[in-house]
Amino acid sequence: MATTEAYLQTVTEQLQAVRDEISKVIVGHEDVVEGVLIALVAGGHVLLEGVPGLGKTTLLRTLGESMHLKYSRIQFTPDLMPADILGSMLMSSSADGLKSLRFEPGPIFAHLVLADEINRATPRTQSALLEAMQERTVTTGTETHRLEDPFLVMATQNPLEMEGTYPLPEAQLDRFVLKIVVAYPQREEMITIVERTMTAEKPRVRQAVDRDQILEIRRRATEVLVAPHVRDYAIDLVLATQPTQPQAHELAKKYIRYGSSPRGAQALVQCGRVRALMRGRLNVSIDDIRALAGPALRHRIILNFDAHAEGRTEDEILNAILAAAKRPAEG
Amino acid sequence: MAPRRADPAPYNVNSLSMTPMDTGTGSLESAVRQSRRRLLLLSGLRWACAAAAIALVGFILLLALGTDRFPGGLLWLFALGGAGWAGWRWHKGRPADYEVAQALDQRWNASDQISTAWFFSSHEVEPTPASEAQRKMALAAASGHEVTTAFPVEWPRAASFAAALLGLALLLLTARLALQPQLSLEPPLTHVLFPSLAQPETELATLEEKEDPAAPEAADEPQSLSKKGERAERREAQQKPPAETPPALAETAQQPGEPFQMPEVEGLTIEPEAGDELAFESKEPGSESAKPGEEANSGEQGPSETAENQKDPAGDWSEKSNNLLDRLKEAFQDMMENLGMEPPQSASSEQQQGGEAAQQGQEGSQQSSEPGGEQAQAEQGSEGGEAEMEGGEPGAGDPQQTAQGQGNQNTSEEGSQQSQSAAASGSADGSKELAERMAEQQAALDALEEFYMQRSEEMEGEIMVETSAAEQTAQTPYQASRQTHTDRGGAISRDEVPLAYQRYIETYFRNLRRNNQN
Repeated sequence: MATTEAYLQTVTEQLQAVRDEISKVIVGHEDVVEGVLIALVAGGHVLLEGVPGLGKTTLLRTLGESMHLKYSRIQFTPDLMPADILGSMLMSSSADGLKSLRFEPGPIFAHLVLADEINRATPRTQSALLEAMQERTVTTGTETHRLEDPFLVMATQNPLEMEGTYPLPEAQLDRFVLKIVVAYPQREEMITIVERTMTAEKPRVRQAVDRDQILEIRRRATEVLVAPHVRDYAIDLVLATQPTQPQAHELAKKYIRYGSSPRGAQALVQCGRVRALMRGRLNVSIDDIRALAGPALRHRIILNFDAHAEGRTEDEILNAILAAAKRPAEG
Repeated sequence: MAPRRADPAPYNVNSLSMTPMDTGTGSLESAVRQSRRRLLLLSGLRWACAAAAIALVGFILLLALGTDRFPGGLLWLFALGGAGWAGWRWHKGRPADYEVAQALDQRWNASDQISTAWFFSSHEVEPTPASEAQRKMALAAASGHEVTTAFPVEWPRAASFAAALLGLALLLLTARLALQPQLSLEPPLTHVLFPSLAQPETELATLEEKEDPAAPEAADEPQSLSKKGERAERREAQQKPPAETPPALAETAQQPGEPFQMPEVEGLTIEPEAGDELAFESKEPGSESAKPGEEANSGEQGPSETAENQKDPAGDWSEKSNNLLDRLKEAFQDMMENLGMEPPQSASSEQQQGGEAAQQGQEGSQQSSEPGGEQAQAEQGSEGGEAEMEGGEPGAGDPQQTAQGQGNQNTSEEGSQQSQSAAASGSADGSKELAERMAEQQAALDALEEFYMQRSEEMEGEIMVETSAAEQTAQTPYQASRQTHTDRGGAISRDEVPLAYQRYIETYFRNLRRNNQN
């Protein structure tokens, strides 16, 4: 009994230590750091959207350093081929002169993969990530290679430059458990960023947890309790985004073409468990679900033409849905 | 709902540096049950206030309308109905234990720990180390909180409403006690506050009782309309048992040939004036010449009753009739002037000499009196005219009256024939002149019309309209135009279209191709 509670405290401290290490490099963006950590522990992938220069690449690199995980970065360009990501078969010759084909793993074979500006690659290359993200395997020829846990793809995309980009298809968007919008830092945060730039000494990131500890935290996260009313609340939120459902919100009926898939409810509960764990709880609360509703659902709903014409955003509609969703005790 | 497990032994919460919750028993279940009892009590109080409010509404209606219009049984119906409805709502709104636990979570900001712990401990779920640990954490979260603080006694809105209704009821009751010598709930409050409102009904009954016993039943109906003036009062009067009419009266009213007695009518009473003395005097047997007109005016009324009714001081019938006659006279003079004829001055002068009685006659009959003597002939003519106009029958009872009526009829017929011949010659002259004048005007109008038509056809030039400096919308007639993208040879590739709009673009071009094929 005491083991569980003690371990809970340990987990909380470890996750907080990771956040502290990241904060040595990344100023502010606590919600972004927390979201990436949640996605990592929950076993999902995260899509970061923000303008260049906000520290997206630095964040993932720092995360890899703090966890001592293998980190790789792929810069997506229109001429990037799937083999550039997954790997390719190379002719190799042995010592006795026999030649054979050998699989050379691509950068996808890492624990933390940064797919930078993922929307610049062609849909063919983008879809090469699908299997890796969902099945955690890579198939080349007749061989299937398993990716090592933990495996996190953190993709970034620039919302400004749409010329020459290929927006991610819905099927691939659904693979990301969270979509986090990276906002500009506040003034105080900006001052800290500039001061750190002026100092010659670079911050050192020490290892807070290792790979096994991360996997143990992930296992413990599955033990976090989800009460029926919390589960129902998450499901109601997802149903409210589906315009064909009777409990759909008015704005959803008006502006949403396709609502969230069941993966949205799964993401809410999975990420809610990790969030509760990070806060030292063994149960998911409705506050966890509400806090994660935006990142978990905003990329799973597809707005219709009217919404684009009227300048409506996914966050605006989700906020309206959250405001209208009553807690069970209120109903 | 699965059967609950027995309450587990209290945890050693001190080992977790937690203080036991101040719920008395130290267990979540007791806290939830205690909270549920409190919630039920508060809910019961709220619905009891609602039931009391409904009952008070019934009591207020009773006080306002009185038992005459709001029977006392309805008050019981309000009270029992309100209590039943409130009880049903209270029973229906009873929260389950799980809901109470959620409410506790919300009130104590426990992040759903209490409800989660309660659910996993009260259902047949295999306890795990995580669930046991979570239960301890829930206990810790609930520690230091009081159920009374989670669900404090609040003044329900229904109580405020009931209090306001109670105040209103007391006010109405006080008004009744103050205005009534002895408290009686029978009359409506309006009759207590404003006794004058209740008077019309009693007055109506009194009026029916006091109604002129000589008035016939048939003639009473339209006169009562004018007398009461208000339809509602008449309806109420009809609902009341009709005033007993003496049998003698009924017989009198139904007998044909009997003289008719004018009933008393407010505003329509006939008051004799100075000029009427002549007419009254002429009712005497020696001077029946003035009589037939009066007889015709009042139908089959006898001479004596007519004199009595005309002496009724309550009305100004003669003034109104004089005004009416004056207007008729003026209208007739205007008509004569328009026709280019001289109004009969001699007749009017004689009529003036005839006094007030002669003013009641008609102009045609006044002309008929020209060949005759001075005053008596004018009176005869006027009265004969009245008889002819109103179609009054000559007196049937008195042979003298009958003779006089016939004599007057002859006189009036002669007079009217003479006036008709004079009027015929005058109107013929006038119509000829008028026809000539109208023909001239028509010819001038035709010339004008022809002139304007010709001008409008030949008119050319510019029109400038000056308007105020304000925002104006220029509208041009709608002209249908149609263009297609295929005519311009436009092409668009998939990659140039944002993903969100590709479906619309595809649909658009698909429809475009389909229309071209058709």
